[in-house]
Amino acid sequence: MNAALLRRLFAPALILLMIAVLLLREPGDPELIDKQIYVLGTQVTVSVPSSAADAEVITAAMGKVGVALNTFQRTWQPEGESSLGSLNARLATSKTAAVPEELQPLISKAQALAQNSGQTFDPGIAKLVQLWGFDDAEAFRDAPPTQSEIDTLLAQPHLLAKATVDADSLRAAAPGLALDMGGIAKGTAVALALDVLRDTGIEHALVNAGGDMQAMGQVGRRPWHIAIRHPRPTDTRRLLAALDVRDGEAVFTSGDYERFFEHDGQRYHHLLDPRTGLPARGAQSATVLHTDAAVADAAATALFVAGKADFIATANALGITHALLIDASGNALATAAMQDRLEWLSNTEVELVELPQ
Amino acid sequence: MSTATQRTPADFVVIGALLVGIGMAFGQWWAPRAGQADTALVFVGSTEQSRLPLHVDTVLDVSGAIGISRIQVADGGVAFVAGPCKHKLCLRAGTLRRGHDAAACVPNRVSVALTGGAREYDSINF
Repeated sequence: MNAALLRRLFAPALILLMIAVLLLREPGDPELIDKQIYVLGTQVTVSVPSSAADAEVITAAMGKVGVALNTFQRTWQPEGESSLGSLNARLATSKTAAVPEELQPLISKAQALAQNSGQTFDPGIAKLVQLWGFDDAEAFRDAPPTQSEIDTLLAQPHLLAKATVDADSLRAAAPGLALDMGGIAKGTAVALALDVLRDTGIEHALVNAGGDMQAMGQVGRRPWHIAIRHPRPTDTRRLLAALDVRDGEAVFTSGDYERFFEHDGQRYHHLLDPRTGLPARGAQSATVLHTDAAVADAAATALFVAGKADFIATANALGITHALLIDASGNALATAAMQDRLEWLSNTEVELVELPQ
Repeated sequence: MSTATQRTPADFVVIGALLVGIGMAFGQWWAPRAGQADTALVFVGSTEQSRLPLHVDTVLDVSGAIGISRIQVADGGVAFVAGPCKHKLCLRAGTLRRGHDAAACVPNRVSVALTGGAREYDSINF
C-alpha cells in the first residue's frame, strides 16, 4: 500500500472511528430531580432521575407522598388522639388493650425485632423517652433526670418484647406500658413513600427522610451512589464512606449527634438503652444496609445500643449481614459483607467481623 | 502543484472531529467529580423560601416556627450561624459544601439542602 493511498484512507477511517466512539460510549447519568417536603418532623427528599419522570409528574406524586406520610404520622403519634396515642392511654390504666387493625402489623413486627435484639431495641420505652424529653425536638432537657426517676420507670412495664401480642390485643404484666415507634417508624414511612411513588408509575427514586433512605430502581444504568456522613464531621472530614445502593436497599444510620445535650462535659443523646434507661455509651453511630427499611431502622438503633461488645451477637440475632459501627473511640467495626460495599472516604481504623453462618 | 504540507477541507473536518471527540471523552471518562454544590435551597417546612448561590457571600435571616434562623454563605459553603432553638444542634452541623448534603433546625422547621454543581453523590446518609 503506497503513501498516497494511506493518506486518502486516513481521513475517512478517522471519521468512522470517531462515529464508532460516539455510538458506543456509555450514556451520561440523567439529571436527578429533587423534591422536598417537611413531614414526620424532618425534611423528606425524593430524588428521581429525569429519565424516569418529568417534574410535573414528580410534583404530583410528592403531593400523594405528603398525604400518605401525614396520615402515617397522625396514626403513630405516641400521645394524643392518634391510634397509638389511644392505645397508650388504654395501657396506662389497664394491662390489656385491643390493638387497632392499622397498628397490628407494625407492632407485631416491632415486637419480633425487640425480642431478637436482646433488649437493645424496644418501642416500650416511651415513658423513658418522655422523661428525657427526647420526644420533643425543642423541649428536651439541659441536665439528665435523676437515677430515682429512671428507676421508677424501669420498675414499670417498659418492654414490648415481654408483652403478649395476639392478633388484635396486647397484654402487659401490669398497667403502664407505653409505646414509642420512633425507632422503626421512619423505616416504615420511607418504604410507604416508595410504595406511593411506585403506584404513580415512578419506577426509579430514592427517598431520604432526615438522612435515612431507601432506593428503588437506579440512576440511568448505574445504582444509586450515596455517602455516609462522618459522625464527628469537620470542615475537612465531612464524609465517612461511600457505597452503591441497589434496587430495594435501605441505608439507615443511628447516631449520637442527632438529638443531644451536654451536661458537665458529657453528651446525653436520644438513643436510650432499654436495659438501663440511659443513653447508650458504646458508639458514635451504627449503619445498617437491608432490603427492609423498617428492619434497617430498628437494627441501626439496636446495634448502636449494643455497641462493640454485643455487635456480632445482635447483628446475627436480627439477621443483619451488612452493618457498620463507629465505636465510642471513633474506630470502625464492619461486617465483611459491609466492608465489601464500602469505599472509605476518611482515614478510619476498620476492624472486620465475620458473622456466624 | 500541491505539496505534502498543504491542508484540504477534509483535513480540517478530521481535526475538528478529533477535538470534539477528545473533549467528549474527557468529559465522559476523566472530568473530575468535585461534588461541590452551587446553590443552597432554604426551606421553612415544605416551602422553599430562598435559593442562595454559593459563590456569593451573604447572610439570610429566615423566620421559622419559633423565631429567626440565621444562615450564612461564605467561601462556597453554607451554615447555620444563629437560631432560636434551645440546644443549637443546627449550628453544630458545620459548613455544607457538597451536593445533597443537608442540615436543619428541627425546632424552627428551617432546613438547608444543597444542589447543583458537579454531582458526586446522589444522597447523603446520616
